[in-house]
Amino acid sequence: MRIHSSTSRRSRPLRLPLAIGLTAVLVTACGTEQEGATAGGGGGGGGGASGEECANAEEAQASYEQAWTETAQQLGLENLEPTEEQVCEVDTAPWAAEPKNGETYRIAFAAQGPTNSWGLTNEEAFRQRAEEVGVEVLYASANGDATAQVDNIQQLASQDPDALVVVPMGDGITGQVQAAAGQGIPVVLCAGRLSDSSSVVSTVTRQYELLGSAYAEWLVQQLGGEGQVAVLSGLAGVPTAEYQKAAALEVFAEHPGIEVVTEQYTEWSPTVAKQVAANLVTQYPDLDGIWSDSGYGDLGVVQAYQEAGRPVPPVTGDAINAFLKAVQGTDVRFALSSFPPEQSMQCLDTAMAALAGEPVLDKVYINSPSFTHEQIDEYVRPECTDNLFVPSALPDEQLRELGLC
Amino acid sequence: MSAAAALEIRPRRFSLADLTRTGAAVWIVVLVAVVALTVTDAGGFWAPANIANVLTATVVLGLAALGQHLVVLSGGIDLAVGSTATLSALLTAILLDGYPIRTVPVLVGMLLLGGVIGLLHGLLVARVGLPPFIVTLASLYLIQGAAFTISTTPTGQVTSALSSVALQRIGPVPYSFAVLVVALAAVAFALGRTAFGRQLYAVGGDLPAARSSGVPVEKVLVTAYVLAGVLAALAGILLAARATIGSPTAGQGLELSAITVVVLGGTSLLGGRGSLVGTMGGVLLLSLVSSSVTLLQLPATLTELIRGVVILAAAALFVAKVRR
Repeated sequence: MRIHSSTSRRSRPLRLPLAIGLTAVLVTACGTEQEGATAGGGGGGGGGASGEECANAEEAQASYEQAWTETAQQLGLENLEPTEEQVCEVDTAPWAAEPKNGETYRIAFAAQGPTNSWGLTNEEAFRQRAEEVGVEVLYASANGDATAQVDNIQQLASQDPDALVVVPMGDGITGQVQAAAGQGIPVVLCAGRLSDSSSVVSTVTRQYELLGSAYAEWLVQQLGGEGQVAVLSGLAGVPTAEYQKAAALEVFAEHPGIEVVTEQYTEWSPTVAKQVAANLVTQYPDLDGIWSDSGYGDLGVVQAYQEAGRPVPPVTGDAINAFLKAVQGTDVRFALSSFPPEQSMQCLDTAMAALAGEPVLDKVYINSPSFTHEQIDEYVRPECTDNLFVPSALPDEQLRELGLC
Repeated sequence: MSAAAALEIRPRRFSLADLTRTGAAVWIVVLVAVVALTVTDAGGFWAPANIANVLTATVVLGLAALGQHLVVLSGGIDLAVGSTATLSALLTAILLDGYPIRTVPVLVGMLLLGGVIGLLHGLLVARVGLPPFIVTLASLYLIQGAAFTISTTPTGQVTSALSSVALQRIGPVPYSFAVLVVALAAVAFALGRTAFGRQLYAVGGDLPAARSSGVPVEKVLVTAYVLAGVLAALAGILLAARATIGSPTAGQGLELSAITVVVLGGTSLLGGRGSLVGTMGGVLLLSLVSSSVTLLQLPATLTELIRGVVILAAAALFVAKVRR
């Protein structure tokens, strides 16, 4: 107590300097303007191309549209319009470099972590490609957590790798990615994107909008442009789920005959999806189709409808072996595509191209197979586990080592 | 008092228990870890950038741990430091939204918010008499729920001045480390040189005795929780500064790490006994562990295992030796 009163007495003369100091801080730190606001959502800022002239625009644009055309062909879609997106070529000459240490390149890989079969396959594919091209991998796992990834990127960058490949866990890592790029490390975003990707060399990913739109167009076509549709998305707030869903809703909005009766989240879990679908069975007995972004979710949907003794409406999702095994031999109609874990291989290739000074695209939207119930026999892998994403680019032997086959 | 008197009369060898009491024990483990890392990869470990990583990792954890240290000394526990940091990180980014002019009011507002949260904890514990574990467990969920209600996705934007505090460094020392040093000095001063410090030890050591000898128990308890809340909010501001945006999961798990380092430092969870030196040693040890996993390229799956083994080993070696 005594000390309290004495400190307050002592602090009195400090008030004036304190007030002056605080005012000084207020004045210096106070631009009234907002600093470079990031454009959320959309296709992300262009890798170094924004504000400048788009290099080799036509060829780059054509490669972007090719992914859409192929998916449309594979799913037999008549109207699949690519969402507006500007893809440009990046001059990587400034990034071209010899290995910093010794004779091999060291590529840092900020991975999701082996928290599920997608993450496991994603990093195995990366390591395999690294071995093939003869580069050393510096690895860090975020265990699915953006905050942990902030530390990971800082730790990896501090080891001064030749390039950094990041599987982004969320926009929270933006600052750290910019810091790494500012340190002179070429950064490639892999299997995901940041809303402000201005500091990275390239973003290599399967496009969320393509998946969401293609599923929606397929459903519209199946229903002849008329009917009730339920939208089952993965996890609230997660870009993988939200971007796909937004694209799907845009497509449905263009078709006045389609009524989206409900939007729900399945958490990409068969159990949750089953509960959600059980409610759909009773609440919307006239439901004509289910737009879903995941095969795990579809698994629950199929179970719920089968248990209720009702025909399963056409569904969409990504190609997980569990779903294919469950519906093989049934008359369930579906369209599947994939967000392939093996895209990490192309991420590494892009990083290596940048180090070689070869031109790369600021956004590499990768192609991956899409198929419907008609081709199920080509894709189902009865000898493999439920958790395998099909078709896998990894050799069987490696899949066995990973416990996936 | 009696122990000190005994020491004067009959000098004896310095024991493990003494090491733990003074907080030196965990520093021995830190030293062992540093030696091991130097032997394994001297160049990588001592690189200024890596030292900066380790020091950066101490800042947020250190701030949360300082608050936890005060509360644990009082005989309580604060399970809400992580969620308070989360809420503060999220609101900092949302309210700043890239406007430098808002920096000072927002930061002051966040510290006040942390203080108010701590005040509520303190009042519920000291006035209403609810167990600290229950009070702060409930508020862990309440505050996390509030954060999710505000936003389920990362959002907002901090100013470049704020993010440079978290991202830039001079040689091996990150700017943000200064924040921890100042907070540490303030807490050390409060504990060592003020009536509040002495009273806090008394309240944690034997509450009825403290009350009967005229210590303002309620005031001391409330002050401890308020300080913990303010420090957690400060940790949140730095979380936002590092991420440059606010995330509704930014501080998840921070409360457990903070409790871990306090215990590692030899502070008794029963209250009344503990050393700030030990807690800071615990902070450094956990930071070393987490940054070394990447440095040494250990499998990611080992991170949690290593952490568990280190805690258990430290506790078995040192904490268990102390008898009240």
